[in-house]
Amino acid sequence: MSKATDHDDAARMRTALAGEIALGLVAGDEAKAELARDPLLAAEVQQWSDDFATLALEAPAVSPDPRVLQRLQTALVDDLASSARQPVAQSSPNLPTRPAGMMQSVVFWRGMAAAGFAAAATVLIAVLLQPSIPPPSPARQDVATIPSERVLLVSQIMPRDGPPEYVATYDGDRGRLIIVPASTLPSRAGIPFLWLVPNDDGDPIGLGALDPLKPVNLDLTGDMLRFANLMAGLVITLEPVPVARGGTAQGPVVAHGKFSSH
Amino acid sequence: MTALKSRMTSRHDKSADIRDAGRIVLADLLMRVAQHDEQAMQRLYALTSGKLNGVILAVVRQAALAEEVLQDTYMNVWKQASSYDPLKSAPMTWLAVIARNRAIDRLRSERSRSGLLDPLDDIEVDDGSTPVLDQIITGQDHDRLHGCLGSIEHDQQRMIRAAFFDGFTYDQLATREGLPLSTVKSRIRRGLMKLRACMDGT
Repeated sequence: MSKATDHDDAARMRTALAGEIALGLVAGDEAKAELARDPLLAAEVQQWSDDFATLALEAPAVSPDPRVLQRLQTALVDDLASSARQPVAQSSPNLPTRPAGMMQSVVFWRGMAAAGFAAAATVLIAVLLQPSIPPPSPARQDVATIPSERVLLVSQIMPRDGPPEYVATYDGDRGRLIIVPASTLPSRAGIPFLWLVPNDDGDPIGLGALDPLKPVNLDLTGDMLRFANLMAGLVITLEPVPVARGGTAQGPVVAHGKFSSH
Repeated sequence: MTALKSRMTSRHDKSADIRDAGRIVLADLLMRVAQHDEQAMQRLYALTSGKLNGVILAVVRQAALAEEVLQDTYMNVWKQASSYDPLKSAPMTWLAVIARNRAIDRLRSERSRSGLLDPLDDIEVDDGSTPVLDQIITGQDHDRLHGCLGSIEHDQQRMIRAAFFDGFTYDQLATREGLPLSTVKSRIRRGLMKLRACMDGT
């Protein structure tokens, strides 16, 4: 038997063993011993676990009883108390009363940024995204695999006194802005409309209506692209009627966020 | 034909973007949960509890038991969120692995206590998922596994599913299948090797 064949056989056996461990078919002690013996095994077990998780996610969603959340909240409080840790609560900035008009809000928002509260009001993360297709298994390559990376700017868009309502991700390479509802949003009378607020004295630019239930893709062009690249602010107003192209805001500001660099 | 292809490509790009954006939302929440942010935990629960409850129910098949495991799962998430690495796993995948493993632990414990192999079925299915979440968790990874499972022999697929969803050991599978232990082991191993070869495209 050739060395190449021996190597392939060993790789296939490792693949099978990793799958058995991920399925829980190998007893805990034995699995630990195998993982200690073969340094390449752990990555394959992780790969199988992730693959099988997609099988688990085929299951239809079933809303749990609301009492589960209540019990969980009690358990979390107990855990925090027992561990005597100080929670790092998400900053809920002490913002002034919601202004009624768009330009007022712009002034307000710029004031907040100048006062140094923008960092607290906006959580910005640059997430290294997984590639859509996972890299080949390390066992096949026998070398460590470094996933390809794509850095996006992210801004939470949040109201004055509540948790984030939308998360905006901006892909500078493609000039694309994706707005995803971050939670179940309260029912409101009006159309949520997104505006880009330039850093200079330019007027806000209407980007489009949002959907509280679905992500919205916006391909930015022209000035929109330029301002987005300058990491301008984002504001959501609640419009009583659809906003025409080039139109101005009529409704109140309900949430805002800002792209900024670290 | 070119226009159609272009439209399809564009649709694919957008759907991939939405999945990416959804993953960012959940990854961001997990990072905040790692700092013991209770609000983030509640958001994470609101977005994912229906799906994770479904994952757990598929294993334990009793609503009351599933909800106990669900609470246990989120307590684990609360304590382990700092170990979540967005470069290694998609957030929903990471959550599903914890939920499934907690469910299997509980099922085995109940099975050991009662001496029964088959769980009771009282699954009530509703649609607690959200459109956003559905778009986050569906996609190429799921399609690839599903397609490859369909390409392996039926008994191999059935045994792998039984091990995954019912938490059966080799001995239990052999008893249920009425086959020698060695046969069950070799069928599952061959099935796993074929499955991986298919998923790797080799």
